[in-house]
Amino acid sequence: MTGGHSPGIWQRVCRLFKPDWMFGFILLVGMGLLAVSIFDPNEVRPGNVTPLTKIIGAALLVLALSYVATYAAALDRRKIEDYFFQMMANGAIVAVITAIFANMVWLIFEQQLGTMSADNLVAILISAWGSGYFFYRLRGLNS
Amino acid sequence: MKNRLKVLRAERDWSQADLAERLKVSRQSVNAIETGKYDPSLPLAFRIADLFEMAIEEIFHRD
Repeated sequence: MTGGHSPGIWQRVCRLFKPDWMFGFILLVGMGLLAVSIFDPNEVRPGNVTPLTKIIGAALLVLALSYVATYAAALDRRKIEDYFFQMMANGAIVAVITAIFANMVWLIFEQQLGTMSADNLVAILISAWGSGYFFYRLRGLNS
Repeated sequence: MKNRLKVLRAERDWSQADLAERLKVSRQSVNAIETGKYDPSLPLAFRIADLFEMAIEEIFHRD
């Protein structure tokens, strides 16, 4: 390209936050959380609200957070390129499926591994999202 | 889906980064399209077609 203009500061900052770096970071955070949650499992604490309140609260929380997530995904879609968004979305599907199967496998080996905590599951979900992103990055979205 | 992006780019002596800048996408996106790892969205396909002043079907075709 013959254009001799150098990118501005904002463009330079944006280039630092490339999806590859972000998902590399997510992958490392997920692996780190998994290690921490395994070596330092939280104790199960009983709640002090009725089961009905808990169910209603959980349902409302799910609805509210899924709405926020939908909004955030739409914002992502507008702000990042379609190529990276597709890899991110496909990676998220990989993460959900991995988390479901990891939970099943963990249940089979519960005697050896102990009970899976919510932290374990979140860590698996995050690291699988990062892995899924890089699988698609390497193999392509059409594979 | 196959495409002639690499050939068309080479004909104009553009690098992947040059084409990416003209299309306002990342170089990785251009590389992924050229290597068949990613089929571009319809808006991007139109931008590519407009840039090369060709119809979409002259650039992209079925396997």
